[in-house]
Amino acid sequence: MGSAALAQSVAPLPAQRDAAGWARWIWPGCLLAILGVLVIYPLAMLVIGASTNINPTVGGWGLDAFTVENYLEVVTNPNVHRAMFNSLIASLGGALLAVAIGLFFAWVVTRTDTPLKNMIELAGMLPLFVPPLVAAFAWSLLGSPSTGIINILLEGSGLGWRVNFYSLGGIIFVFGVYYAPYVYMFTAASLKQMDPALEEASAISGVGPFGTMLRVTLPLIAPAILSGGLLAFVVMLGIYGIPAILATPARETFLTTYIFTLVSWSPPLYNKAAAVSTLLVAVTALCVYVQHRLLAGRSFVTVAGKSFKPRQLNLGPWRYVTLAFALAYLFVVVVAPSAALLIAALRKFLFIPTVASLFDISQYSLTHFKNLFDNPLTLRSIGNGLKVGFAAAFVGGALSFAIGYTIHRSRTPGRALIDYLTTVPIAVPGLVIGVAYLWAWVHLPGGLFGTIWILALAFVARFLPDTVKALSSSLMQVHHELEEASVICGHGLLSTIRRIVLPLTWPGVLSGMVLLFVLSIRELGSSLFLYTSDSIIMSVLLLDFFEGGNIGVTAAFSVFQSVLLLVIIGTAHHFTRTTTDLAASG
Amino acid sequence: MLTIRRALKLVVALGIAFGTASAVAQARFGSDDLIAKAKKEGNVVLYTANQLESEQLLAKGFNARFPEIKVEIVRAPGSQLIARIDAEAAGGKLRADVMELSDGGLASRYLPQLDNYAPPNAAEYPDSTRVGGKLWPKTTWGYVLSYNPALVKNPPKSWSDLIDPKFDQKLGIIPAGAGGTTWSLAMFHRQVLGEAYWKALAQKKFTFFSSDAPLASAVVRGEVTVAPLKSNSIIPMQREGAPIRIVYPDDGVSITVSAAGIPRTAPNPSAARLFMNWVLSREGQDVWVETSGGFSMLKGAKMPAGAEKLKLKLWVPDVKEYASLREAWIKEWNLLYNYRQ
Repeated sequence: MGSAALAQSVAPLPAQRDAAGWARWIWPGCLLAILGVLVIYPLAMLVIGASTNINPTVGGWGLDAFTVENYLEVVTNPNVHRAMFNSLIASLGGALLAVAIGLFFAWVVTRTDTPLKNMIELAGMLPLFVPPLVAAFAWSLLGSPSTGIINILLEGSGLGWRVNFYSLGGIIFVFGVYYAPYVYMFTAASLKQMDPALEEASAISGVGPFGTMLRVTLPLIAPAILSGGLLAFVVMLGIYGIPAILATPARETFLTTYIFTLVSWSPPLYNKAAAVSTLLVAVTALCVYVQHRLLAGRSFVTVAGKSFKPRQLNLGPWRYVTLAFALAYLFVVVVAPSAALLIAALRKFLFIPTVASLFDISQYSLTHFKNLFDNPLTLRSIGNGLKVGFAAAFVGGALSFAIGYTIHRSRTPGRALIDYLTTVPIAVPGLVIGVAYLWAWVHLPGGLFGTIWILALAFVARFLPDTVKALSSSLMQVHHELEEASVICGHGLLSTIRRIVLPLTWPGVLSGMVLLFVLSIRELGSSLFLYTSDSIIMSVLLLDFFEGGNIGVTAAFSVFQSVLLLVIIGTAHHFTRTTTDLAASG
Repeated sequence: MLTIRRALKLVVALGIAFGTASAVAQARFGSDDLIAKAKKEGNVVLYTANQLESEQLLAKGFNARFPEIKVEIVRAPGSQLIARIDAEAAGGKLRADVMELSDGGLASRYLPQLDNYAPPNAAEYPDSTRVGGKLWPKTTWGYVLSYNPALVKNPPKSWSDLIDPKFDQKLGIIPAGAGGTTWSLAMFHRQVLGEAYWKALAQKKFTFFSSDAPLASAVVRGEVTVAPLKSNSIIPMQREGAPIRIVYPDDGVSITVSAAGIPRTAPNPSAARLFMNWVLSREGQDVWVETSGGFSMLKGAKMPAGAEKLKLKLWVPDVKEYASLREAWIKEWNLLYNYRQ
């Protein structure tokens, strides 16, 4: 990612050549210090925490109690083995399913004459807007083995089938279906940018369309497929919400739920949690490294490059089959879960003995919504969520702009290091960032811990790679001649940025900030360890309601959060190109 | 003759009388100074392991008496609550005005961080339920049985019915180590009903749940059909017409008493005291028993719905054994029930 951008970096602006040797390091030094505090310090504390036996919230921390005991115990613990096994299998299965679905849609949209392609493209990206916790909750309502709505309908129809979503299979399904968009974005962009000459040559040589697809197209986009699949795999490994809801009834643990259990123990086992976290980071870092190598020198998602007109395959009557698949996907991803949530939110009790009782109006009422808003924590969590979102958006937006500009538009030293540090958070699962921040900040004076600011900072750190990438694409589109003209007219660097660069890149900056805002509102994993009752946010409160067994209130809150997200994203889409950035964020 | 003027005078007089009566009634719960300070603070934050709906009903009762003071409820299951309190306290961010744990044993380790406090009616509570002059039995839970009436035609009447070979319902249970009340129940089964019963019950097939509310929800939905539950998890839903019914087992109800206190760092100390005064008063305990269906340790307190006419055997664990036997017996319970932590 970064190396591609550096290869295209521009000629230095005249003003910078005059700075003294060490003075040129002041600005990158500041950026490196900020990145160090945001990213490196918490991760270092995490590794230290895994190597000691002190409880950071009770006894502070110190470097004198070094031990490998935690690592040894974690590596030999059969519970950890089982959690690791579950996590790897579910993420692998999910990634394969995501590749199958994502690739299929990418092909349908870019290479066939299926009707309603705009709608299909939207359907392909919709799952990204659904918080994973809400998706898992909706599917638990649909697919619970004895009382799930699907099973009630199946029983009513006389078929002897049952589904059970409280299983690895259920989790793989939800993973695959909701993370297919990651693969879609990579592969669709790759298919769009392919030079059709090779395929035309294959056709001329007499190979049929499917043969061409298998022997020419697929190998050419293989890096994109692998890349998207790997990214999906890494993200799935770090998800807490989906296994928390679907695996726990089956009494299976995943690495993320296991880490959370360790921290919620009485007394909390922070050191072991840190050890398991470093194990998780090792796996994801390896995957990210492999993905980086696959993509070396190629950018698949930015807007640069020549535009080809890809060959369209004429499917004939089969295009209605592909359309049907797309509609089925839309139904599975959006319609069915929304229906389940609405039913659970509006129904007084979830006792549904027959299909007929599902349609019994007397069973429905607004009490759950009333109970939801009777609880003062609800409005507080909404307020906090919005505050954290705004704080993260502004701080993250400003920081990302500074980093993006430094990396892509300047010749200051240390750019490669800054670029590298910026991409480190990709390899760290969200939950682990939360544990790391807890460890790093809980004992520092200044009272940052327990406020919304610690949440905002954790989110800025977590989503830094995505925001910088989104902003960078805008920055790279501004031709450097404009900046040079400004300098020639006598304006300094800051003035040039203010008068030329910012106004031109403003839509991209705004887009990046909205992206960060939306991601922060949805975030659960990293907030679980950093919140207090004062700073509780919507996603954590939703989990609280769920674990407290208040299904009706959970459903009501899920409906509310979905509508809120829809309104925010709809407004943002109207004003910016956020949707494509959100989808490309990964 | 009732002229407008007379009617107005009547209304004003009634208003004053009502206001005074209300003020007099309020004064039962604390001095004028305390009430004034509490109203100024306007907020009381309660950390509890009790079920959210039950606490919300209690808060409604408190607000009927003191509408100016908002009650915020922060709820987490037993061990998570302790982890949260520890983390917040370490960061200097403990926001609890009232802290309530279901476990007297674990709660006593917080005694140094709690303020001295005693309600006006302290003498009406048994000595065994007061800890260190700082912790009080705000909530008393009783473990009973529940079933789904739409799916169960022959409901059990006692704990012993559960091990009857003909008993074949889908059972749900919360692990013994989840909190104070589940440990009491396990202790009750073993000490009162015997080792043989303890082992026999573990042979049944159970689905595990993390706490009462999800388990009660599962009974309503029919995922399990019979489950041990706390009475306050059953009675409100039963009253609203949900398909769940309470059974007071005739071989005994295991009672657990909570420990609630006011931390030294409470941001709203007067509101905290006023709230505790009200909750521990007869009126507060009545709200808990009548609307939520719980039990109470207050002398002469009422019994939950359906239990008034029964001669219930209420069993309260011995305080010392409750602490000393806990770790070993919970380990055995986990092995017997094949519950992996």
